[in-house]
Amino acid sequence: MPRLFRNRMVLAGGVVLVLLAVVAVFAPWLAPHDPLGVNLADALLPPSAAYPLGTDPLGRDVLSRLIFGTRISLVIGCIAVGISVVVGMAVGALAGFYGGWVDAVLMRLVDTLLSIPTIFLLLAIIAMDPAEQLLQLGRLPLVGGLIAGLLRVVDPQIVILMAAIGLMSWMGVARLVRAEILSLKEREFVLAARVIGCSSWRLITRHLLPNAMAPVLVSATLGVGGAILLESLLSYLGLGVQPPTPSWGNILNEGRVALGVAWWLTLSPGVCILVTVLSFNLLGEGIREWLERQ
Amino acid sequence: MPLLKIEELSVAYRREGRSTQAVAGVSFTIEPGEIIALVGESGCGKSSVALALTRLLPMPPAFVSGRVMMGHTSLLDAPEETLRAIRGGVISYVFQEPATSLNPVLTVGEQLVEAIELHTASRGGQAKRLAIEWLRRVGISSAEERLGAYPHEFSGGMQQRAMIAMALAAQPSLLVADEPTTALDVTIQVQILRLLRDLQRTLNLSVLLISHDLMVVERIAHRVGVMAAGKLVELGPVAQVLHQPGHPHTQQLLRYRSMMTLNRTRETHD
Amino acid sequence: MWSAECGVRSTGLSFPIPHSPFRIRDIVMASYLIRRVLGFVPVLFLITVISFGIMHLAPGKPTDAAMSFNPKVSLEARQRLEKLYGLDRPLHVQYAQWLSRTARVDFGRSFLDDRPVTEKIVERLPITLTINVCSLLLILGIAIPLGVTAAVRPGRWFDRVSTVFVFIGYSTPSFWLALFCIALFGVTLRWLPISGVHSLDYEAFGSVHRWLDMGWHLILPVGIAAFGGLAGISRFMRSSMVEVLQQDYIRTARAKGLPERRVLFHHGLRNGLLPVITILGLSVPDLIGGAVIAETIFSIPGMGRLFYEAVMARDYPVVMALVTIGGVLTMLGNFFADVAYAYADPRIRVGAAESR
Repeated sequence: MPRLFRNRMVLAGGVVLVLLAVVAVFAPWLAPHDPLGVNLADALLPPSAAYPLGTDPLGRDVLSRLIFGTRISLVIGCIAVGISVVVGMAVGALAGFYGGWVDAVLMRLVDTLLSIPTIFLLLAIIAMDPAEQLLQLGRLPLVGGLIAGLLRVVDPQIVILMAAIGLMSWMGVARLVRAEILSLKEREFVLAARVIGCSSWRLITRHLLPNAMAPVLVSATLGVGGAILLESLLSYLGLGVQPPTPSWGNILNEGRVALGVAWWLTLSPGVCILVTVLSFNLLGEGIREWLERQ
Repeated sequence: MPLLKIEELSVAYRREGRSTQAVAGVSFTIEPGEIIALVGESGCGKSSVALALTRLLPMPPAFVSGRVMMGHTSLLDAPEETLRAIRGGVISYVFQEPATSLNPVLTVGEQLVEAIELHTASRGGQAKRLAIEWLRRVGISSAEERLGAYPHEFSGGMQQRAMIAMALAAQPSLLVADEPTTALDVTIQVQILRLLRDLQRTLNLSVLLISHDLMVVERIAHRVGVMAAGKLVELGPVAQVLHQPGHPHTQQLLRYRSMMTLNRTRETHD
Repeated sequence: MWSAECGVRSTGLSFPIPHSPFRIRDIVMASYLIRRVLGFVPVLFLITVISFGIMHLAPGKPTDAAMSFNPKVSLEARQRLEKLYGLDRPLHVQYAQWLSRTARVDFGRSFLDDRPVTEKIVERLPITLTINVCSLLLILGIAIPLGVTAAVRPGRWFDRVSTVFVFIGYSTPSFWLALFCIALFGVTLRWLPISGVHSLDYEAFGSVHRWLDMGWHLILPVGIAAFGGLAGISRFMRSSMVEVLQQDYIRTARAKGLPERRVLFHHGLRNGLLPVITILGLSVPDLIGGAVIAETIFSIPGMGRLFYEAVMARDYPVVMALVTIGGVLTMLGNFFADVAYAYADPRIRVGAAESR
C-alpha cells in the first residue's frame, strides 16, 4: 500500500482532494460571510480585504459561496458516480455472467444510450421538470411519506441532478464489469466454486465482482471529475443547481452579466472546477498506473 | 580471419534503479561459412548477445560494453548510418515468432521488396522479380501470388520462410537466427532447419544460431557455445561439446534433454 | 485469381470454389459489414423509443407550452389541438404514428412557430456540420502529431510537458474556457468576434470576403468544440503508438536496417492509427454534444443551439427529432468508423487467418 502513495500523481490528487473535503465539511466555519446574504450596496466589488474574492451582482461574498459550492460539487459528484457504479456493476455482472439473450439485450441498451449525446439526453430530461414529478411521488400511499420527508431535507432538484448524471454514466462501468466477468468466468476458481455448490448470486458477489473492482475504481474516480463537469455545465445553463444555493456553475452564470468587467466572477469558480476535476483525474490515473504495475 | 570477433561483451539492464547483468564478459569469434550455435536455458543471456551485436537493444534501459569487431570496424562504436547499412545488408536477423515479426498491415511482398531495395541495387520491377525468386528459393510455392498476400494469410512455417527470404535477400555475410524454430510445429522445425542448412551451404553464409534446444543444435551446427547466467562456460565443436562435455553445466544440460538420442543420424556436414 | 486452395483457407469451407468474378475477400468483407448493419437495427429502434418516451414523461400535456402563450384559449380549442397532435390516443398508437412519420423524415411541426421541424433542422444542419468537421480536422491535426511525438520519446521533456497539458485540458470545463476566451479575445482584446456567424455588414461583402468573415467567426467556436476531444485523442494516440513501438515487427524493421523515420511512419504509424479510427467513431456523440455548448455560448444558429432553445421552450417535436437524429448520426459515425477500420486492417479485410 505505501507504494501507492509514493506515486506522485496519486499524492498530488489525493492531497488536494483531502483539502477540498475538509473545506466542504467545515464550510460554515471557514466561510467569512453568509453565502446567501444579499447586500446590494456591496454589489460587484473587486477583491479586497473584506471580500477576498470580490462580490457578485447581489452583493454576496464570492469566496463564501465558492466554499459552500464545494459541498454541492463533491456531494453531487460522488453520489452520481455511486449511482452509476451500482447500476453499471449490476448490469455488467448480469450481462457477463448469464450471457446469451440477457447479454444481447442489455448490451443493446448500453449501445443505445451511448449513441445519444449525453448533453442531449441530460438537457431533455432536466428540462421536463422532473423535480416536479418527484414531488408528485410524495403523494404515493406508502412510500410517499418517506419520499416527501426526504425531499424536505434534500432539495429535489439536487436529487434529480444526481440521478440524471448517474444514469448517464453507468454504461462505461457496465462494459468494464462485463468484460472482466467474461474473462474471469473461464478461470478455474469459478469452476471450483461451482463444484462445491456455490449459488450464482454468491458466485457473482463474492468471487467475480471483487476481482473486477480494480478498473471500476479507476473509472469511478475519473467519473467523479466528469460528473462535476456535467453538474457545473447544467448549473451554468440554468438547469442545474438553482440559485440561491451556490454552485460553481451558477456563480459563473450569474457572473455572465458582468463578463468583461468583473473578472473575479469568471476566474475563481472556473479555477475551482479545474482544480477539483484535475485532482480527481490525477488520482484516477495514478491508481490506474499503480494497478497496471501489479 | 574471423568474420566477427566478440570480446568481453557485457549487457546490463537498468530499470527503476535496479541493474541486472544479462551478459557478463562473453568472448568468441564467428568464422566465415560456419554455423555456430549459442545454447543455454531461458534467461542465460543468449538473445541479448545476438541483439547486442548490431546495437538492436533499446539503449536505455540496456547498457552494452565490450568490443565487437568486424574487420577493422568496431560495431559498438560505429556511427548510426554505418550500423544501419550493416543491419540487413551484412548481418541479418531471423526472430522467434514469425507471426508477430512481420508487419500485419503490409503485404509480404512489400516487406520483402523493401529489404531488397534498401540493400541491393535492384529497383521496382527488378526488385519484385528478385523477391519472387527468393520466395521460391525458400520453398514457398505460388510465389508470385504470395507477394500480394498478408502475413496472417501464411502458415507459421511459411511466415518463417518469408522472414528468412527477407533476411537473405541482401546476401548478408552473417545470419543471426534467434530461436528460429521454437514457435513452430515439430515437423516444420525440421524443414526450416534443413532450409537453413542448405542455404548456408549454397551462399556460404555464417550463421549464429541461438537456441535452447540441443536437438536443433546437433542437427546443423558446427560449433556450439554453452551459456549460463550471462557467461560463456564452454565453447567448441559440436561433437566434442555434446558428447564429451567438460563443464558441469553442460553435463547437466545434456542430462535433461529427453528427446535426443546419440544414435540419431545427424543431418550435418561431412 | 484465387485458386481452389485459397477457397478452403479463407472461408473455412470444405469444397473448392471455382473461379468467380467476386473475390473471396470481397464476399467475406461484405457479409461482415451486413452483419454490422443488422446489429444497428435494434439500437435504432431503442433510440426512437427513448426519444418518444422523453416527450411523454413530461408533466401535463405536451401542448401546455403551446397553450401557455395564449391563456384565453378555451377548452374546445385545447381539445382540438390535442386531437390534432393525436394526444388523445393510447400511448403505443401515438408511438406507432410518430415512428411512421419519422421514417418518412416528417418530424411534425414545432410548437413554437408551427414551422415543419424538418425545415428548421435542415436550415441549421450545414453550420453544425461545418463546425463539427472543422473541429474534427483540428483535433486530428494536433492530437496525432502530439501523441506520436510523445510516444517516440516517452518520459522525456516533450512527453512530460504534453501530458501535463493534456491533463489540464481534460479537467477544464469547456464552457468556462469559452467564457474566458470571450472575455479575453472578444471583449478585452477585441481580436475575434464572439457571436453569430456573420458580421453585421455581411450583405455588403463580396463572396470571398463572406467566406473569410464566416471563418473568422468560427475560429473560437471550433476551437472550443475541439478542445475536449484534443486531450483525449492525443493521449490515446500516445498509448497506441507506445504499444505499437514495442511490437516485434518494429524490431524486425530496425534489424533490416531501415532508417528510424521509415520505421516510425511506414511501419509504426500505420498500425498505431488503427485503434484511433475506432475511437473517432466512438467520439461522435461527444462531438455533437460539444457543438451544443459552443453554439449556445457563441450564439451560432446551428442544430445544437436549436436543441437548447427547444428544450428551454419545451418544444417537444423538435427535441424528439433532434435526439433521434443525434442517435442516428452517432450510429452512422460508428458504422463508417467500422468500415474504415475493416478496410484499413488487412486482417479483417482479407478474412481470418488460415488454420495451421
